[in-house]
Amino acid sequence: MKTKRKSAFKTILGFEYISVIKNKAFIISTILVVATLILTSFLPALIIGLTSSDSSDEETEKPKIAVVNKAYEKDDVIVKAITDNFNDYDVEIIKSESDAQTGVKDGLYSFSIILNKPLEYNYITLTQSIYDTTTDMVDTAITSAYRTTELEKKGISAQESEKILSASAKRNIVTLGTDQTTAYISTYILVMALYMAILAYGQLVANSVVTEKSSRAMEMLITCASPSDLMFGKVIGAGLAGFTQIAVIFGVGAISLPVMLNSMPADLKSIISFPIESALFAILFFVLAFFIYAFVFAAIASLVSRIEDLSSIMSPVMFIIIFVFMAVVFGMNSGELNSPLMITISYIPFTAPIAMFARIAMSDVAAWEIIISVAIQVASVFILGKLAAAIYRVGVLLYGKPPKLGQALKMVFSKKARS
Amino acid sequence: MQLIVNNITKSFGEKEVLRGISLNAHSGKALGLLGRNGAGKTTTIRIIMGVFPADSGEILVDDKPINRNELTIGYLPEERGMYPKKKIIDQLVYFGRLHGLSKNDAISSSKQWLERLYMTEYANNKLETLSKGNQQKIQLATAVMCKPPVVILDEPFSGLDPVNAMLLKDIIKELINEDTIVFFSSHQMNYIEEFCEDIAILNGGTIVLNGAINDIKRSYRRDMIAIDSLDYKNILKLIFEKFSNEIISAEADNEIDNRVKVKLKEPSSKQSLYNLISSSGIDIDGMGIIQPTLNDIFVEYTEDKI
Repeated sequence: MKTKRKSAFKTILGFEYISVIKNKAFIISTILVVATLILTSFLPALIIGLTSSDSSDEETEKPKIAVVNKAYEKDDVIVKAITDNFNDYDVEIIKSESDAQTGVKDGLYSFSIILNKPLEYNYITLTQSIYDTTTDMVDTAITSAYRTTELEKKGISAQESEKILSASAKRNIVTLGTDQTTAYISTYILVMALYMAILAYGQLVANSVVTEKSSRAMEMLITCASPSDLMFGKVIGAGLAGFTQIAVIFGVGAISLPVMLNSMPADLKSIISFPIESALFAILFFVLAFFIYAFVFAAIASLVSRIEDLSSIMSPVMFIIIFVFMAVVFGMNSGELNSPLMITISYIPFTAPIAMFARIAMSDVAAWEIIISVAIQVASVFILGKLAAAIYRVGVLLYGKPPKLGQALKMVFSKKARS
Repeated sequence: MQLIVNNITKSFGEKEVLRGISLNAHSGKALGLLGRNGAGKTTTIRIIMGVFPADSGEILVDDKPINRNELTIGYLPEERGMYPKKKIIDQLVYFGRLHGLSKNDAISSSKQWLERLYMTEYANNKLETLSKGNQQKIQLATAVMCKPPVVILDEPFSGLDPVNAMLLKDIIKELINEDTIVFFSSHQMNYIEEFCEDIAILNGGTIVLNGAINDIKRSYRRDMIAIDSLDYKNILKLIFEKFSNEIISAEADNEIDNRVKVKLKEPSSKQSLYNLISSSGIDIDGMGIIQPTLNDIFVEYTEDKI
C-alpha cells in the first residue's frame, strides 16, 4: 500500500517548490542578478561609445611646442624625432630664445626646447610637477635624433637607423595549464556566488522548518505524512527551486556575457575569461554543497521551535561556512591553490565543494582527485540525508528549549535502536 | 466499524505517560476522551494517528491491525496547525491532497466546505488575517473535507462564537449520522454530554472510568434529592422536624437559588420524602434526584488526592 505514501512525498515536493518560487526574496534576488547581468553586459559598449564621441566632437587645436635648434644644421631630424614622441602636439621651429620663453609664459606654447648641443637642451615650462614624464619623452626624442644623425654620418640611412632604433620585443604567452590571472575574476565571482547561495538557501530551509513548528502546522503535517517525506520534500523542493534560479541566471548569462566580452577592448578581455568548464563545475558543486548543507540546516532547525532560538543553534554551522570561504579566498589570493591545507579541505565534505571548485578553476587538478572528491561528497549527501531524517523524526515533536546537539543525537540513536 | 485501542503503553525516556490504555469507539457514536492537562490525551491521539508507535499494545480496526494507508483519520488539533502566511485555499488543497484526494477533488471539496462554513470570501486571504474563531473553522474544514471514516476533534469549540458553535454542532451531528467514528476531547462538559454517548476518563496514565454516560450516572447512589421552592426555608424546617432521622444532611443550595439539597441515608426513603413534601401544602416548583453532572464525575475521578 505504498501509493498514499508515495503521493504524499510528491505533493509535499510540489508544495515546497512552489513556496520557494513564490518567496519574495527569491523573486527579487533573481531579478536583481538578471538585471545586473544585462546591465554589465551592455556597460562596456556604453562607456566606449561615450568616450570616443567625446574626443571626436571637439575640434580643438593641438597644443604647441617651440624648438630652438642651435645644435644641427638642418631642422628635419630633430623636428621628426620630437613629433614622433609627441603625437598630439604641433612642433614649431623658432629662432629667438626670448620668444620661446615669452611664448610659454603667454600660454602660446605648452613648453619650449632650446637645443644647445645635440645632447644638451633647456626645457622651458611654466610649472614642473613631480609626475611630469614629459622631460623623459624629450630625452628620448633628443637622444633618438642624435643617434639617427650619427648613424647617417657612418653611412646608415635614416630609414634603416629608425628601424633598428625602434625595434622592441613582442610578447606571446603560451599557458599550457590554467592561467591563474585570467581565471581569477570569474572564479572569485563564482566562489562568492556559491557561498551566498549556500547561506541563502540554507537559511530559507531552516526558516521554513522553524515556522512550521512555531505555527504548529507541524502538528497537522505529521499526521498526514512521515517526517522523512516532509524533510526530503522540503529540501529537494528548495533544491529544485535553486536549480531553477541557476538555470534562469545562466540562461541570461550565456546570452549577455558574449555580448559584453565582444564590446570590451582587447587588453581587458585578456584579464577576464569565463570558461564553460568553470560554469559547469560551479553547477555541480552548487548541487553538492546545497544538499550537504541543506540537510544539516533542516535537521538542526527541526530541534528548535521558535525563530528566536534558531540563530544560536545555527552558529556552529555558520562558522564552518565562513571558515571555508575564507580559506578558499586566501588560497586564491596567495596563488597557492595546491597547498596542503587546500588539498585537505577539498576532500572534507563540508569544505570540499567550494575548495575543490576553486582549485579546478584556478589551477590544474588531476581527474582522479576530482572524481574522489565528488564521490566523497555524494556519499556524504546520502549519509547526511539519512541522519537528517532521523534527527527530524525526533525534532518535529520537540517543543520548548532546544536540546544541545549531543543530547539530540542521544535521543535520535536511542529511538533508532527502538524502532 | 469499530476502532479498538488495546492496552497501549508509552514512555518518554524515564517518564511513563501511558500505562495501559484501552478504548473502544464505534461508527455513528462519539467517544468523549477526558483527562486533565498533561494526562496523556494528546499522546494517545498521536499513537492512534501513527505519529509515533506505542511501546506495547495495539490499535485495531474491526479486529485487524490498523492500516493507515487505507484508513484516513481527520484530525483537528487543539493548537491551530496551519500556515499563518499562506492563502487559505492553497492550504486546504494541500492538506486535502496529503490526505489522498486528487488535486481536482481537493479543490472542489475545499470550495464546498468554504461555502458550507460561510468563508468563501476569505479563500484567497492569508490565514493569519482571520479571527481566531474563523481560523478554527478552517482547521475544521481541513479535518473533515476528505470524508474520513474516523475524526478526532480536540477542543473543537474553543474560540467559537455561539453562531459558529451551532454550525459546528450541526457538522458534528452530521458526521455521527454518516457513521463516522468521532473522538471528542474537551474540557467543556456540556458539549461532551451533548454529543457523546460514551466517555473515557484518562488519569495517571490509565483509564479510570469508561462507559456510557447514562449508565455511569445511573450507577451512582441515587441519594441526593433537590427540592425547588420559593418557600424553601419552610421546606428545610419541615425536613428537620419530621424527617431528620432519614437524612445525612439538608441545606440550601448555595449555587442555585430557592433550592434545598437533601442527602438521604437510604436512597429507598426518597418516596417517603416526596410524600411528606407534597402533602405539606407548601408550594413547590420541582422535586427530584440530583444526578451528578459530568463535571462532578470528572472532578471525582481526577482530582488530586493527598
